Amino acid sequence: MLLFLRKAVFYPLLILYCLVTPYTILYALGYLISPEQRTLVKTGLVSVISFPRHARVFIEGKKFSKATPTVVSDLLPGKYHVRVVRKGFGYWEKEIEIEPEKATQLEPVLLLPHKPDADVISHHAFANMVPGTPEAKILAWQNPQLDSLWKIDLFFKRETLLSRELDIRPGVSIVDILYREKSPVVLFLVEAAGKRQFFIFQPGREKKMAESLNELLPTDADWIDWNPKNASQIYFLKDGFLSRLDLNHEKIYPPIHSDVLGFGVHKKHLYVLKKDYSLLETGPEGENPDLLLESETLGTKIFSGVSARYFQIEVLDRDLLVFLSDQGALISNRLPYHHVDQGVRGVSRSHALDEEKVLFWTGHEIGAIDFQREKETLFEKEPEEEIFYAGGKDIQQAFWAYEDSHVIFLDRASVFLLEVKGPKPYLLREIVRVKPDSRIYYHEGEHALYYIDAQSRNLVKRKIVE
Amino acid sequence: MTSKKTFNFSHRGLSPWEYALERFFQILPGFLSWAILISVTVLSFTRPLEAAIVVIAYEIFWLFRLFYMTLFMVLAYGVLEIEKGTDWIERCRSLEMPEKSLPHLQEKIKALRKLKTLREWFSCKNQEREAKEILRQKVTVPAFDSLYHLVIIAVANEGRKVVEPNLRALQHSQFPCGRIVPVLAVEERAGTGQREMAEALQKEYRSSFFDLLVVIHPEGIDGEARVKGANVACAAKRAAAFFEERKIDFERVIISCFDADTVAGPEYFAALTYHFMRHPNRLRASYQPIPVYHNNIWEAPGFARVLEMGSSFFQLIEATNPEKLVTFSSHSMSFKALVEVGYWPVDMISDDSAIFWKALIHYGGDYRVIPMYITLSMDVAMAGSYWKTLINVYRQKRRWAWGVENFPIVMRGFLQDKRISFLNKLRYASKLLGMHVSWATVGFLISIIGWLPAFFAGREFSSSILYYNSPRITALIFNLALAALIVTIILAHLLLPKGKPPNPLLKRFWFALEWLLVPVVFTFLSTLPALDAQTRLMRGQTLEFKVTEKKR
Repeated sequence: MLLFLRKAVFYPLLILYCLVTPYTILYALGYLISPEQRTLVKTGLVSVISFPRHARVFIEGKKFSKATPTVVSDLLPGKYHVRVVRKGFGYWEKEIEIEPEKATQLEPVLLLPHKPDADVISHHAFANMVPGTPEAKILAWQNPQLDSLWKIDLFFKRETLLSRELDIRPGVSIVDILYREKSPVVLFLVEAAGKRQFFIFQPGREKKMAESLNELLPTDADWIDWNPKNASQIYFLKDGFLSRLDLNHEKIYPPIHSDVLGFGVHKKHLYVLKKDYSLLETGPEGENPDLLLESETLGTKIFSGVSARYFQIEVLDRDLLVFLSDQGALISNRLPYHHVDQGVRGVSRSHALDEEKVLFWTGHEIGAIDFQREKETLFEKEPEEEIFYAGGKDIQQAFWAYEDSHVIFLDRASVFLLEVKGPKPYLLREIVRVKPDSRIYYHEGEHALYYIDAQSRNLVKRKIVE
Repeated sequence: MTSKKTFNFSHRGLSPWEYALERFFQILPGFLSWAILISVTVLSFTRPLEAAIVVIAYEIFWLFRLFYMTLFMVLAYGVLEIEKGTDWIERCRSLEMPEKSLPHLQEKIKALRKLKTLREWFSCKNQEREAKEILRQKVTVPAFDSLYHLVIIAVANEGRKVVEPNLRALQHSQFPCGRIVPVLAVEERAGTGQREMAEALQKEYRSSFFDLLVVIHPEGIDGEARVKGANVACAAKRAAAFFEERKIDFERVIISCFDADTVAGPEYFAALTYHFMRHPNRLRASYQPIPVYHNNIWEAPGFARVLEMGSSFFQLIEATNPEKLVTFSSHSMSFKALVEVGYWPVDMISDDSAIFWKALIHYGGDYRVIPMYITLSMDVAMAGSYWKTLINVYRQKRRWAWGVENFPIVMRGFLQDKRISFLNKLRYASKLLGMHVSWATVGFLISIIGWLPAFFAGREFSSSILYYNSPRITALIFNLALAALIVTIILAHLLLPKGKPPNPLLKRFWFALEWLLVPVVFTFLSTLPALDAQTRLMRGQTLEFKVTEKKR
């Protein structure tokens, strides 16, 4: 009886499987039976992830029942107007192209609040600031005088005027600042009575002014760099000599290398570009040199045509190096080697560890080189380069934001949020106006922007989206 | 008849050609399993789109299969429930004169046509159908009083605590104990302690039965491996001599081969006798009960409980398909058939399934397994600590999966045999191969590899519509599969021994939650050991028979 039933159930199920499976696969691939044409038609879909979530999606004015994150499928190929709306936030809208069998990703759509969540960190009026250290501190100063320097602890929400703790005498003015992200050390180039020297700020190791002033570090060095995780060792390039300052022992060691054109520090390695265009990888004290590039061959071809006094080397990975000249030429060790001829003001690597992506900016442009995405060419594969924005006036700083889907940048006294992912044209929105000539700092983990307010000159923390 | 006599159901003593054939079929299951796993994995990286399509088709296949299996699991459980209160002795008696008993039965059926007595009604309808079949086929039914039961209990290192309940259960059997002959098949290598234990049990229980034999299986017999099959075959040979001495025809003896922990319910032997009596080809058949692991179910860790329940359900489903049923674990058969086929293989670990294949080839395809909707209770393979139990369960499942060792022998047998039809050979071979390959792959494919295309999607695939649709379809399939899981949980609760746990409500609620472990448990304690077994066979390695530690 059961055996008969088995067969009686098995064969209909087999037929059903033979019908259901192709239908499901076709549906999964985006095929639908058009009721009008009674034929199979290819469709596309749009995926919308918004911050904040639970926003409504309107396509061609029609509201979709599911709030974000959502996928709107079964869309016939063509152009659609998409609007993402949430109460209390500015809407987001764009004309998008739906392609057959393709998913158009609007991920993420950032909705900016009508009333931004801005938190005044310090009510003092500041002139400028530098971003924090791993101990979540911001250094801000009220005027160019060093004795107006405040240390602001973001975690404990404490602010301390350093001159109260340290013996900072008046009349010392700040000329320049050198800092590295996530480094506990900040170098202030200061001037007093016509004499320039460095004031080295190390949180937790605050010393007297006299002890913090370092005369060993030359103020006319071409390039100074250090490993943020080992900030006691400061490397500097002067007159072609690469030397090391040991902050712990306050000692300068004999030059590690001569005839140096540029260098970079990465983890426990020192990367040195010599004037003969050879490239070395050595230990932190110049030991165990490993020749990465021989001078006579490729090195000459890559570097000889570039007019540069020195290069800073950014090591993205052990096999991916980016060279930025003092003239703003951007070069890498990957084809086509020369990416930007001049004018690059800064570079920033992707926050994602598995991404080999570099953001760069000039005074007018913001772009990125994605070394993992390769452009198909007739000859060799090249990394994909893209200029996101070319309408800048005087771009000073730029940061990857929201997992590299956006860029936040400071142009003159305005901070902008620029989409750099998804369908073009990329949306550009002004977030806030800041005090002219002041720096900003964007913390990706908190999705927060730190800046000096244009009107009040207070130090403000603002979440981009809630 | 030549092939019947000459076929060597063993991995040993093969001619070079037979050896080459054997190696090919030893490699085939493992090769196919690995090829499936590797190709889908590689496809997930290189052609994620195609891999996603394969995964969807596979998942739908399993959803359909799950529904199909759940339906028959429920039906089989229904039959099990229907036959729970059956008076098997009365049935056996009525079978002796069906023409006389049928009218009474039909009257009884009429009287039972009420909702309250629905279970009995179904049971009687079953009986009626079977009685009619006997009359129609003019089957000569042996007399109930002429039948004997030989029960071989394989004892290795199990203590008295494990073995004695087995004998006590036989003592309480509804079938007259005076016609039951238990044999304690003790391994010599287990030591004198085990021999003394067996002898003490013999002394205590002998008088309850027709006789109780203790057979010590000597170690190191030429041609034998250290496997259970060698032990029980030795005991069966001794029993054959015992019946010959008493001039009891082997046709009248039904042999049951039990593990030391097997506990038969009082109705088991009566039910077995009924199935034996009613079947026209009773001498060319094995009788397969439903194994349940109730002896220590509440003491066992969650993962072992879920896994063993799953095994019981699998057998329940298999029972509904007698055409493809193979003997598993404790089972029974005609003693005549066992003697004719040359007893259990003495060099194979999977003696339980091997005896079916051996008989099938010996009788040129005229051999079958008759399902019995009656349970036999065994132990969950516990071994003291949680970790030890985990290893124990893994080893036990690997041993079960080592049943794949039958495939090369069966294929060799099929190639030599001229009596079995090609279609039947194909049916059995595809079932055997398909089952083992599926066993070694399904857990990995559904729980791990199936997710790879989405997980390692490249730019091209991640912007395709399939990238978005496949997880939605998978989620839908899993939600539908959840319905089957809920049915399974309900059945698991119904199947559990009644009122035993100290904290019934909490324990039963916890037991329901344990079923959520299914994907992990199934992958690592069922699929992985199966793949392990096939890989070893593929590489020509042998599996040492390790007696599963059973503690109570």
